[in-house]
Amino acid sequence: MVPSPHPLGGAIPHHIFFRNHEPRKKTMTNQPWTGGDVSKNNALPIKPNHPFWYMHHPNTCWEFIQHREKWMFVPSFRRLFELAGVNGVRMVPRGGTDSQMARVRMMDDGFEVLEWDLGYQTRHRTRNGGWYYSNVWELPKVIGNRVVWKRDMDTYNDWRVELMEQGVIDFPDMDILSFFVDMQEKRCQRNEGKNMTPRIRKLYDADCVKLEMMKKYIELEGPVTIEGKKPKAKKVKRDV
Amino acid sequence: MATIDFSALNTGGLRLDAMIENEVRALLHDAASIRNSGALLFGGDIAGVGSDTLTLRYAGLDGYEAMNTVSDGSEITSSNLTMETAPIAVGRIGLRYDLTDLAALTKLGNDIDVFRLSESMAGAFEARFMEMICATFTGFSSSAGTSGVDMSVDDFMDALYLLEIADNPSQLFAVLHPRQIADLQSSIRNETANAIAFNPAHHELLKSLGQGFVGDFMGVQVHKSSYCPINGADREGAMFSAGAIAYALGTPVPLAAPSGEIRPAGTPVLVEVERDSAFSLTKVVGTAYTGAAIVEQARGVLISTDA
Repeated sequence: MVPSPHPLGGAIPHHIFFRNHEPRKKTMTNQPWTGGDVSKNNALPIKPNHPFWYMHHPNTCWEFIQHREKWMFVPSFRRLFELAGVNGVRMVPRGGTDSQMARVRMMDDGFEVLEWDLGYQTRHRTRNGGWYYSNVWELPKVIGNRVVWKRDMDTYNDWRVELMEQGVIDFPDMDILSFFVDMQEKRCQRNEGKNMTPRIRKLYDADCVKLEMMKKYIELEGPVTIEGKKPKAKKVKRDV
Repeated sequence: MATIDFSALNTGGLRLDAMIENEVRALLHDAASIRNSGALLFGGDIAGVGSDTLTLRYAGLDGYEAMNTVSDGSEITSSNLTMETAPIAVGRIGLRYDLTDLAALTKLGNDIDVFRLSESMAGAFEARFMEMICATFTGFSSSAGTSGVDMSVDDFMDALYLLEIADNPSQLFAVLHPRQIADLQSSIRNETANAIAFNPAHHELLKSLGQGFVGDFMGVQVHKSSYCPINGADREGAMFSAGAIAYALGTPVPLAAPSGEIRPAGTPVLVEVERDSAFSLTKVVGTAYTGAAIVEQARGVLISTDA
């Protein structure tokens, strides 16, 4: 497949841009006739935002997902913005910020703050002149004056699994997970026996499947296959 | 036969191609603020306190720690007091417009001038204030909603349950992104033959909604704000009880003989008008010092849902 240049640099396959269409040559750009340095190829038409730290709380930051044919709990994240005056982030002279004490405070509240070295953050130039910070799995696509974000879920979820496998974040504690089961149970119970439209019925069924799989996860103490069984152990070659 | 028509006058320079309106209108934007809604705790003013950070003090008083059973004739042992603190750092925010004399003197009707720009600073402060308040939401440890899935009544109920379980008092507030409100409205419309559908008060939320406070749902005051953070394709609102988020201000000390200093009533903004005669320029500078932080985690829940 011929790669096309991505606005952030690098290349992504054509099929992400052109799902059902043949790739075609670009003939027109939506730029004012007066020109200027505004180019839709390298700047996003949105307001700039602030750098952030990912934070994970071992009690509350978990998400139950279906990933690569398995159901599993993966860590979810909160964000601490490097924005002076917000959540304890202080201002330093000449425009900088100091979030050191704010991060310590979050850690006191039980959060684990993920270092930037883990490479989860990137930034995109905006037309206003500043930067828009996002995680590296979000890909912006500019359509007219709007930015549509597409998340590469598989890669994002792989990274979240990797964080646990590499010990950056501990695997979830089974006793904590029962709380998530309770929440999901309440969700299902509330909608039980309701007269639903097909669309709502589909959502309700998905909630029930999720609940069932959550229970299996706790029963088997780990990921479950979409059939609700323990996945087969990977064959490892032994050194002779 | 010569006719004096518009085209002729226009060509002759006696008519204009277009005439500008007598008034300059404000562009559509989210002008609502929850600063005076009762949802936020005002921590205080840092002026004259010796630091840029205010620390709110908490202790396990008034029944946080219950009495113990003590057997007759035995000594009551002394207990430790549970203590916590929550800091709010205050940062500087500002906005400046430079207006030349020529630009100002060529005004027409109700136009852009030094006074209109000064007046505009109050709104600019509230906008930034809301941006800062909403930026705190992503620091709540508890959450409801699913990334990539539209907001629903179920997500709203999940957030409500979490706050109820944590013993929050009855007046709850939700600040949601307009997209989340629209999805919630759509979900409420799908509620049939139950307590939600039959409650006439909930029908208020199904009407076309404006900015700011949009109604009451399940006993929660719902506010709409486009300043709720965007996380890729997700929007991040929050539900909380009063006291979850606190803010602090810093009021600059007034000068003895201030010239060109305006302090708009009801806002902590200081607007200063400064002349630069060499450039025939008037600078309108608005400054404020403010900060906001989550001060009690148990009082709030992040609501993260799809756009």
